[in-house]
Amino acid sequence: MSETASLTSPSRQPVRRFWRFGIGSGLLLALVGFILGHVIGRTISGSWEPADGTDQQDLALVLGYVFGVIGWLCGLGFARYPIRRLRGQEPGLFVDDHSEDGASRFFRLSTDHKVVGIQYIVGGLTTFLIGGLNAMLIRYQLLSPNGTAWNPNEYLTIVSLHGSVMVMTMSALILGGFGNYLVPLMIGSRRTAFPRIQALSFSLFISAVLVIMTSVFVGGIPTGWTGYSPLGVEARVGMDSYYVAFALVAMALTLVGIDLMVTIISLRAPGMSWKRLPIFVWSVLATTVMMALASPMLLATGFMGLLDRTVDTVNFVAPLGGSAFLYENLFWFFGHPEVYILAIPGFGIILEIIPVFTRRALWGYGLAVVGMLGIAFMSFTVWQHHLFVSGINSDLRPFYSLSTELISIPTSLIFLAAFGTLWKGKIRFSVPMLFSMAFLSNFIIGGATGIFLSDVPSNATTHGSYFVTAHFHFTMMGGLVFAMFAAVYYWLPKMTGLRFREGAAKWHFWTLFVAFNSTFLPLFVLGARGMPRRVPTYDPTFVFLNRWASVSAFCIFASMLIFIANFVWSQFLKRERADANPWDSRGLEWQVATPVPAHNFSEIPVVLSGPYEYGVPGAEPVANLTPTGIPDPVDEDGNPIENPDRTPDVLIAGGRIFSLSVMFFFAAFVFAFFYLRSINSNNLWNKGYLGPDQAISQAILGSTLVGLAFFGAAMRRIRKDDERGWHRLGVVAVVMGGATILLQIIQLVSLGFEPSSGGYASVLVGWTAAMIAVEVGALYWLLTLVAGQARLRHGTHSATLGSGGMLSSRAHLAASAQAYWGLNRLLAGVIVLAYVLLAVIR
Amino acid sequence: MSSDGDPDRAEISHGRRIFFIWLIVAGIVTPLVALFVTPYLPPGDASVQANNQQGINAILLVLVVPIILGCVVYVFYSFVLFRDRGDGRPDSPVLRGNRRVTVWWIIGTCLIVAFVVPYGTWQWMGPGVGSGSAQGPKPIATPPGETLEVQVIGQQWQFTYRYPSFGGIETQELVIPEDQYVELHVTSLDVNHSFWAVGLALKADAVNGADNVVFVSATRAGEFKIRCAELCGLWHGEMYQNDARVVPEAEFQTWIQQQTELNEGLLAYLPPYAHIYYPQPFYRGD
Repeated sequence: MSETASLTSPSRQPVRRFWRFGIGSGLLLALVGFILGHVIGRTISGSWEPADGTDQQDLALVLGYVFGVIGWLCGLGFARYPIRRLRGQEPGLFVDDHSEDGASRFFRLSTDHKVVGIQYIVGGLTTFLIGGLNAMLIRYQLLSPNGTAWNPNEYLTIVSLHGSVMVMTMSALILGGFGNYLVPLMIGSRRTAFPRIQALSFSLFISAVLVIMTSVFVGGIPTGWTGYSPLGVEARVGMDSYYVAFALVAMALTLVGIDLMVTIISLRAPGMSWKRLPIFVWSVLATTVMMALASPMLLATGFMGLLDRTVDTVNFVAPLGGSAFLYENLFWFFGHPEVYILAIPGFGIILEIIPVFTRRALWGYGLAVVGMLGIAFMSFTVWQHHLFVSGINSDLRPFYSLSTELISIPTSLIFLAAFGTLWKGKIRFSVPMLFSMAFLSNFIIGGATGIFLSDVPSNATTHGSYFVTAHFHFTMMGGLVFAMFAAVYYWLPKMTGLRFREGAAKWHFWTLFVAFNSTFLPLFVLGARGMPRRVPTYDPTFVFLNRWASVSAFCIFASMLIFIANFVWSQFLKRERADANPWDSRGLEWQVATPVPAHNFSEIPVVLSGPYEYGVPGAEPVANLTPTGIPDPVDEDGNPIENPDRTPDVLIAGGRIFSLSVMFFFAAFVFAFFYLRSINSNNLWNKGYLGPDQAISQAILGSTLVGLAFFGAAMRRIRKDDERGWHRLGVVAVVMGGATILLQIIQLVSLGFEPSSGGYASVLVGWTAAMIAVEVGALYWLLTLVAGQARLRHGTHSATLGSGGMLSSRAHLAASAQAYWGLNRLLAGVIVLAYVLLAVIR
Repeated sequence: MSSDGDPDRAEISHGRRIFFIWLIVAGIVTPLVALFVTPYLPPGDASVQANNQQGINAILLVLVVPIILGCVVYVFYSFVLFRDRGDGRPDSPVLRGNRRVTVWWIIGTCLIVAFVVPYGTWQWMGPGVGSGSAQGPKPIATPPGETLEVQVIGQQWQFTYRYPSFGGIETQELVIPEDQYVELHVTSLDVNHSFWAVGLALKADAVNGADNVVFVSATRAGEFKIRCAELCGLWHGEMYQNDARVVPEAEFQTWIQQQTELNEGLLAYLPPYAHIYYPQPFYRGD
């Protein structure tokens, strides 16, 4: 590239470098990391035998995965930001990714919410296809009652991959894809609150899917997507990939949740009051509550499972002091909110679409909002309905039956809103509307069959049978997948600027709708008549219905081929430009140009009225996109300078929610402590009243409290804008934080007993290791504060306000410190609690 | 086709029409379902518990069918009559909500919940004696009088049965007497299984370290099927038995005599009966 060319080109040409961060370097470093982790694992566990049937060891494989993921992230360029932060530098928000428009920006780290959205949608649709192919393999085996297409291990691995990949995909795809892309556009923002975190979540999600796919090379997963222990603990090394993948996806979901929640709370344009918030954004908000709070539980559960497999803790091994019920409770405490993570965005999508195609104001907007938030909060109270026949005490069954049934009330409000909007509407049967209607029809069947499952007597027959399979496919596939296609057909013209072929899309819809119902309705009958889930062979009397379902399932796949053909044809081969607002929608996202400009809005719009004012006489336009007529100032790269006042709010809100997530993460360990302690006899819980070295425990407590006190003193200075002595206080806090971590490591290494000595020992090891991991992160945060402060003091800090859009000043640092202070206090509380429970009560 | 002249009158007539269509459709379909479908609902009437569940399933189905039909009628009616006819007016009239409809809708849903939950709970706590649903180690609903204890031990990949009141003999087949309450204690030696006696409508997870109690009283002699309903590893699909038996009391006594004789030499080697079955050396409790 000659210099003149780059001068004449309107956009800056990227500098050609030998090393470029992107998918190539990501994969390369992932491989290097995997090998490195593997070698380290082998070295540590040198004397341990490899697992049966493979040449792998658990520890080597897990460390391989962990280092591989770290390498993958570094290779994508995620390491640059933390390193610059540690040097006290203020990295610009937009990292040279707006300077190119080609397809290559989708294959590298991007902080543009639209690029990440497309990455999620295309990546998610790809993994959806993989999960769908797995379903075909399952149904192929079930064509015959004694199917021999796959041996049992292959079959169970396929079943597990189908479930896991689909659950991961569908939870990430809607919020990560449509949420990231649309929410900023819908609320009048240029970005999400934490663009790097948003990019990180996608890379974590993709690595999770890749990790779980690799399980086929190391023995497979025999447990299904629920991963019940002790089967999960006893399974071959392929199981490690399950735990690692779900831990990764839990992180991704938590991050998506925090990012989008803060975006919606803090970055709404002027005039975008809560009453004008599009219903899809409400659904995203409700979902993020569950993501940010429930996913950390899954992370903790996966962490315990990995410890059970690698360092021989016994969290889930009953004869040695653990409990299978611990796993079931922890998993479903995440798992049931997860089910609604898979439902509520679907409600949001169809309620967003129905008003456009009935040309009427959304009926019962408030009801729908109450319904979504109600579901989100109630979803945390129902998890034990998965355990009705599990063997735990039955005293609470009436409560869980009631709470489960009560969720039907907020759900019915959403249906009421949808029905009310149809009332005397002017329905246009475009493809998105057809999918939305099918959503209603499918979900009502899924919901109605849920009544049987929530009823304790009926549950005795339906639990664990194909009835359940049919039920949740009606809610998740008939629900969310149909909503997803509605969203794809509705919003893709805005995202790509290209039209779909209407005829082919209608063919896709009708074939999918018919084939879907034809596949899953017979499964209700099969389940009720006695066919259990996840069996490779079955009673020959069920052969007809199974063949029927299999053939119908192949038709679903054929229908998906129509979609793929349509997608490829209309998006790549025969491109037809779409109008900027083809559906004549009032949504703010439709008011901007197609394709959406790099920073969405040249000025932050002022919202004037609600998004559903169809047919309202004299309704104002939805927003004034040019309230001042003067575009917002941009920096030398063409990136707009954000309103700096917003950044501290965002940081503080994000810090609070993150602290809540961390709290739920540790809640899993506290729960494990009390649960195992209460159900086990003394001998299994803590034989011989073992405990850590008291001196070390007290030293940990001491260093934590001293560190807390010093940072508290620093915070007082920060609040008073008094910089004198700040850095010394901060440095003491750093030293104390480092000392705490070091002491905890010493405590773990010098334990006088094995992790397998009982429930207590397992909880101690797991909890301490988890604290170390979180504290390392917190210490990094603290170091960035001290480093930033040092730069500020020495005046070497970049003084330009908002170079690249981010506020780089004292206010930013103060907000970051404020957010850190919340986490610091929470962690100190956790350490104190750990001291009381693990060192004193035991 | 209603005239568009008076929006209020048109609205009322739409509502009435939908209501009457629903009334007719539901009035025809629901009794048909009640008459011709509910007798064939699972799990049948081979035990008190199965009978109980079948009754509940029937009631729930009869409740659910009109609800689904209501939604279907509404959506189809909208499809036909509320479609865009290109009459020149671009948008629909504005309706943002209706207090009366909302209130009745919520009351209706609450009534359904207020019926379904207490009814189901009363059924399994009372006449159903657990309704075939496992109750954990401390059952709430217990049958009156004497019960026959049988321990069900799951392991990869079979169930074994023990009869503690007959010296703790172990058998590979489950045989229970007719018309008597049997108290099944379900546990597992290894991973989670789920004991599902399909015809008798019992389901109880077999979990290592847990004692999961479920009661059953079979109403007639015959064979029934047993399945494992929890994924338990490679041969989960093969963990079944098709010829478990319910037999008359006299026949049961004969059978148990035979088994005792067969087991005689073995009993000395079996660990003592415990509600929670662990092979040595792990004992819970001590």
